[in-house]
Amino acid sequence: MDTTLVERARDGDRDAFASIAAESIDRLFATARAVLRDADRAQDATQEALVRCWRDLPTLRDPDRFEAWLRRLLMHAITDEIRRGRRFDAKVRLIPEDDVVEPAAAYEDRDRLDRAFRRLSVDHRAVLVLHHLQGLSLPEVAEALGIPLGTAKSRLHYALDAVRASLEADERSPMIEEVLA
Amino acid sequence: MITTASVERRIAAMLADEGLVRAPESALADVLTVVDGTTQRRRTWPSPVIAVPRMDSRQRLIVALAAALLIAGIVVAGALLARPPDPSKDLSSLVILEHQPFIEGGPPRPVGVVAIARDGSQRSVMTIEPSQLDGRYSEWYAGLSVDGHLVVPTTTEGGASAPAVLDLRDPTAHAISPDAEGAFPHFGPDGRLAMSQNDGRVAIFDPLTARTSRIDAAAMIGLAEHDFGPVWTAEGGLLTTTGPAVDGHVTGQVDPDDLTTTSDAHPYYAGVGARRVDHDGRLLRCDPASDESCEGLITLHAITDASPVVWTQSDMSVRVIDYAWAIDGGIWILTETAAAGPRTVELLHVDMKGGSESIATLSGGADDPDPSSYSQAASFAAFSSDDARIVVAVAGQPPQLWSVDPRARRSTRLPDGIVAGWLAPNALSAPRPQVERAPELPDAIRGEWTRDHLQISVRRRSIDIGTHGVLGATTATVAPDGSVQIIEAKGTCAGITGTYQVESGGDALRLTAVDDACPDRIALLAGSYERALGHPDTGSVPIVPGTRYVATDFTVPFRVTIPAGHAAYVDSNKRDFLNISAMIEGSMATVTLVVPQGDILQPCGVSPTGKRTPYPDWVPAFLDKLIEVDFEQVGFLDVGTEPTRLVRAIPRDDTCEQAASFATAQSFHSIPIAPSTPMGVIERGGVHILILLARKPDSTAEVAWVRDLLGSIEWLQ
Repeated sequence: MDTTLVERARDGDRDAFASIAAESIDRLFATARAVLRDADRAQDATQEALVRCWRDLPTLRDPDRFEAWLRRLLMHAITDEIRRGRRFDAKVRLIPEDDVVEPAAAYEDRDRLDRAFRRLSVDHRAVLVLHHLQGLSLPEVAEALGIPLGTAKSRLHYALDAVRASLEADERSPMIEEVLA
Repeated sequence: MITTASVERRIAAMLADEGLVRAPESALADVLTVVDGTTQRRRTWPSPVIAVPRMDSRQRLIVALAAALLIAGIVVAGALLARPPDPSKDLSSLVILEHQPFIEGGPPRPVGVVAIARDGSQRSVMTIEPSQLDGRYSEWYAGLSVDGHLVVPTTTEGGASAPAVLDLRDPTAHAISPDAEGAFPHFGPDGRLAMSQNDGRVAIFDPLTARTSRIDAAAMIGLAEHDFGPVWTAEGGLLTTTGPAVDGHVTGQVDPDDLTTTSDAHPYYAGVGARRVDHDGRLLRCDPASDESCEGLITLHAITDASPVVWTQSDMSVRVIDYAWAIDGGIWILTETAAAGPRTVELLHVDMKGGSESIATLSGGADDPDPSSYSQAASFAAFSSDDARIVVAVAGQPPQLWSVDPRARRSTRLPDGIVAGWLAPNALSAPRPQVERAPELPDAIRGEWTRDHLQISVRRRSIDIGTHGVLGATTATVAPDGSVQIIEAKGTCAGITGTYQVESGGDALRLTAVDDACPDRIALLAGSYERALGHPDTGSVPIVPGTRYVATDFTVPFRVTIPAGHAAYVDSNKRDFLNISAMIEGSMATVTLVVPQGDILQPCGVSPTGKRTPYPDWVPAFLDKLIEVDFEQVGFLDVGTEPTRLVRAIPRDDTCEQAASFATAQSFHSIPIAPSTPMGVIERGGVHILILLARKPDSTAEVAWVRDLLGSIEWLQ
């Protein structure tokens, strides 16, 4: 990020902030969506992070730290979004019979992976997303989440272990035909 | 065999694909619109030094004199304002409810209540016998009033949590309970108890009259979000907030008896929660842009208009875990070491210049070994009014209580348990007002009732009417003659007391106006009511087996008869979630009616009837079909033997391809609404969503109960 833009935005230049927002918004949205697994909530978290960014930018002492600081704001916004979430979240589509298509193995695999990913806590999803989607090193992940490096490492290890266990359990679960038999 | 390395590769590939997602087109414009109306904060760090022209000797002399005067003033003011606590000032005893080891399935046991004097001597002040409580004592919180009332939490069979108030002056008397569930109960300086309700209102309970009233103080939510309940002021008012909840700054107080007036706030230092608010109404909290966990690099802010930073934690090897205002204007901070293994807890005193002083260190246990969870090593449990005794609860099984004397730098281990508060030497002997306790309404009419979409709750000594139409912030209490006195704080009947008679007959309740000068209220309230399935504040509440109820608040209203023979409970969020359960032969059967959030969507807009199908049209139909379902077939969830198809719940933002692939995925998919809760979605015959769960459905008695319950449903639309 151009530090001159950051400094101008910090001094109240809305055009400069608009440039920053335009440059950042897709990356923030993709990260939020990957953690939250919900586009609407990801949009809310992204908006919240950018508004907080504008509001609190004067408190940022070092413009070189802007990227890390913005990531941290996003993670806080995601946490708040989770906290605001309902106790359950059942959004349902009906699949018409005549829309049936042959399932592709790749989709099934991605579906299983997605389900396992959703079963992780948001803390664990966040570590995976920052590490693998944003390509941050673990020290950078730790900084973005405001946690010690050791905690980031253990969360990554636990998250991968949990996904693996979840995938294995999924493979063992009975198909409906077996249940009804 | 799946390896962790292969999982990591697959996740990396999935996330790499997701990284290509772009924000919706309108997102940037939305952000900039909000930003246009948002003011930036002031800088919290110093601006660069501005070059000043060299001064001559006369100017330097003037500046030096001014600086000397300023320093002298600060020293004098500091000496006046930051006087050390007077050790003889607070002679109160610390009251602790002794720890009770929880034994699964075991009978409730007596709970000892001890008072610990300033010199460390202990004496028993009462023993809470299980027979004194309507529910079971729950080791969660405790509070003590200035005149000796003790509040403890109890839980009932259905899981609801209700406060019970005991009296140290009459230690064998049965507890009395507020007519309200509630959280964070705090006694005020006049002995009344205030607590936050889940609906955003604040319930006020007077242990002397046993009357409960409620106030609509929506701004109080701002405080509740910071994990403490209503904050009493020294004048007997309640602190409230203004402005958005995130930055809510404390600006005034409301009068619990008159919501129309506000005045300046002078906080009452009872309880740890209120120690987050100082005499000027400044709320102390973590970085406003941060969450509440205070993880990592945190700053503490005194929330006022300027929101100044008062403390910055920069050492990543320790974490700030609790903080509170000190009476000298500084801050008490608890930290823990962040490294793995047993942790060290440190109590610091921080002055407003940022200087910190270590007061005490304590040994804390290691964090939960589960890397996905965290429990802090310690928290503040109580402060004496002179700050001469600071009680710290160190996490453990059970937690350890320590009393720290900051002047002597001495830490003393206290009995294990829950801190209730401070008992002044004259607390149990000072005269109390002689007032009459409100009579109780008959058991038979307690519960939820409704007529014409007006829902009321008949409690033990009051009727909760809430805000409806012309009624605003209603308080309805029972008079000694059994009539109900109703008064509003807002609305067209504000300030006018109406008297009503309550009668019951069969399944109906009748409210009749005896004396009411407000015809609008008579028109709204007077008449016949039928039993309603409510939406309780906390947990589940009992419902009467064999009784017919109406659920008018549910998206699709219905009537249902609760099968006789088993204790039953209801839990609901009012519109789209309603849980009816029964305890049957030691296990629980549960039927949950859920209206899915949002619309039912056909994937990718291929529906011949359009893109969206609103749910009210199909909900009655699918629930009609539900009754035909045979519940004895399947372990998790009955799907019958007919060609009933289970479909999985698909997140709304999945791709068309993903959605389509699920059409043939005929496997059972469960969605967790609570840990270990099986739940499913059934599609049946073309319309049809059903989400229902029944634990242990192989039990014949449970299945019969579920079938009877579903068979009794009468849809009202």
